[in-house]
Amino acid sequence: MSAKKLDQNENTETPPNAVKKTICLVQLTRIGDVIQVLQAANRLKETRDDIELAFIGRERFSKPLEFLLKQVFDYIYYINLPTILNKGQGSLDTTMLALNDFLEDVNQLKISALINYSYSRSSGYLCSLIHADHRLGVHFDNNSNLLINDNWSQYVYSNVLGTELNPFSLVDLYFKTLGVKPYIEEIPIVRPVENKNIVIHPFASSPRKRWKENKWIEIIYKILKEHPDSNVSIVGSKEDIGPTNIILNSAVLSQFRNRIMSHVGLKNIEEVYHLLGKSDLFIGHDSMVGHLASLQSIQTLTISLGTVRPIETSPYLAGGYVLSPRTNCFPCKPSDSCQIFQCHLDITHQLAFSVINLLLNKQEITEENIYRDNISMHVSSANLYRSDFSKEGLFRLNPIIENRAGINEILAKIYRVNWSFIINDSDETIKQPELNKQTHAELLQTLQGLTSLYELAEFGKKYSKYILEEISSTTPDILKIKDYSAKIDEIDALKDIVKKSHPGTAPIINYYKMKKGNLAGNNLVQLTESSYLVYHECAQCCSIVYELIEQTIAEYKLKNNITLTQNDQSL
Amino acid sequence: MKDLVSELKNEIDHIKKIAKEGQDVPFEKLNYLLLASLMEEEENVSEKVRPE
Repeated sequence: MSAKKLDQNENTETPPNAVKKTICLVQLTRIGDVIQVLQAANRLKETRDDIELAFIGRERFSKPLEFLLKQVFDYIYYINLPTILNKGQGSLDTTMLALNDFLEDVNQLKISALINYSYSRSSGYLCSLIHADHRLGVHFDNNSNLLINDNWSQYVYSNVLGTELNPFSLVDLYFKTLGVKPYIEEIPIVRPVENKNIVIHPFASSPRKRWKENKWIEIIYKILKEHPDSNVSIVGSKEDIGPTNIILNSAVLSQFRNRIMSHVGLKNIEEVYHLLGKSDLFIGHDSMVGHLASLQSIQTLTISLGTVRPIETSPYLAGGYVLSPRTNCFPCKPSDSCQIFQCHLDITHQLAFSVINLLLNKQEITEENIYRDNISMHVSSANLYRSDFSKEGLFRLNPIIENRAGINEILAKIYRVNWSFIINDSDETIKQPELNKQTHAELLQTLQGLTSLYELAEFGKKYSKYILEEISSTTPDILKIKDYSAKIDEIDALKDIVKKSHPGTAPIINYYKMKKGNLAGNNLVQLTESSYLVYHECAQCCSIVYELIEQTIAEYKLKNNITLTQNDQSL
Repeated sequence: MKDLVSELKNEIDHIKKIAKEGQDVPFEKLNYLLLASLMEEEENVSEKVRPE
């Protein structure tokens, strides 16, 4: 638990008398998340020389990254529960003093903006106790009520946490929360594969996010057999030593043992980072090593399984490859029970190797080449993406094998355009998603849900307006106001029913529910005015998404020569 | 440690009672909530921004 003032970031461009404002970022979750925050902070630092940056993280997840954090942050604070408890020596009063010492240390800083990037209760309370002029992200008021005031944090809380339809990388969302200019020129891009020094991280933070060892044995065997000039370094933590030994001791790999180097449990994160810098290809599951690889701009192949949402957490650079299963339940939730891990079976080691083989042979990865090197059954159960950035500077995953998108992927694309417009007032051009018979039918269902939601939002406006009219009358009738408020509660309850029957409307319903829970205003008039505006924006959002879906359907019909049906009625 | 946990639990129960009665929870009581949540999350820090 300490703060450091680092001098290497002194900026001579700011006039000597100007006081730099301090922005403090809080990320109490895991190492991978800290790296993603670091990527956003790095961009902020690149674009603004008039600010100082502070960071607060859990010691065990942030300290190993200090070598990177100190390049970007002027102040670093680590919170460590065991240290606090040790100081407290079993007494609550002394423990509270130790905790207060930490808070006092942080509160020495004059923080202009405090941004909470972790959505845990602890970070919410922490951000409530730190003095700051402005707070973004989750914090609590004096009555322990959760507050989120800024649009993008409201979006993250309601959509990243609450739906399967978030279309943005977390790094881009962190950019948006910070108001940082995205990468439009000089985008981070992978450097070409020159040699065949390969780093493999066959592990992840949970079993559902990683293959069993046998698949990795197959991959490593094929790499070393087909590419005699290649060598493989395996990286991982001390907890991964057991599975590593299974890989290393497999009979199949015995002939290649001298070309496999295990660093598992031996190299710390800084050493792994430098190892990645000297390597040409990283292969692994979605984990913090992939984020480290992106910082070193090396070519990556990420195998996303289980709870991973590839768009949110794939390595943030252009030119990386991602394999994800087409399993219906992918991505699952951490709370879902699973015994068979069907998604692990749906990405075959043959398909993964064919991608690796093309990369090592410096061949282009195209749909044609993938089909050439695989039987179609292996290709049909997985998605393969190449990452890049849109011209608006937003990270995206482009499918290499076309016409595969399920309803969630199609809706996510549509919502991406919608949210950029609604929250950022910016247009993002996307390639029209390809439909099939099933996704077409599902989109028509979503249109019905949007129509219902639009009508409910219009009713919400109507009753908010009635309340305002009643308040402004010469003799306001409290019973009438209560009656209208009850109607508004009814409308909100009906929205939840629409969400259940039409899950494609969940992003809009969640977002405006969150906004409604954080209405601006200190009295009934202001709150009702805010409520009116929220319903108005909700209706507007429904219209935009409706129109985008209609365009998608129209193009599908045009391509497939389908005539218009009664279902295609606009709002 | 056992004493600390039970003392903290008492504080949290007290805070919950205050909140339930519709009164404002004194600001300094948030420290107890912070400590309790840190202890609760310590063994299972959630991934990404998922709910805990």
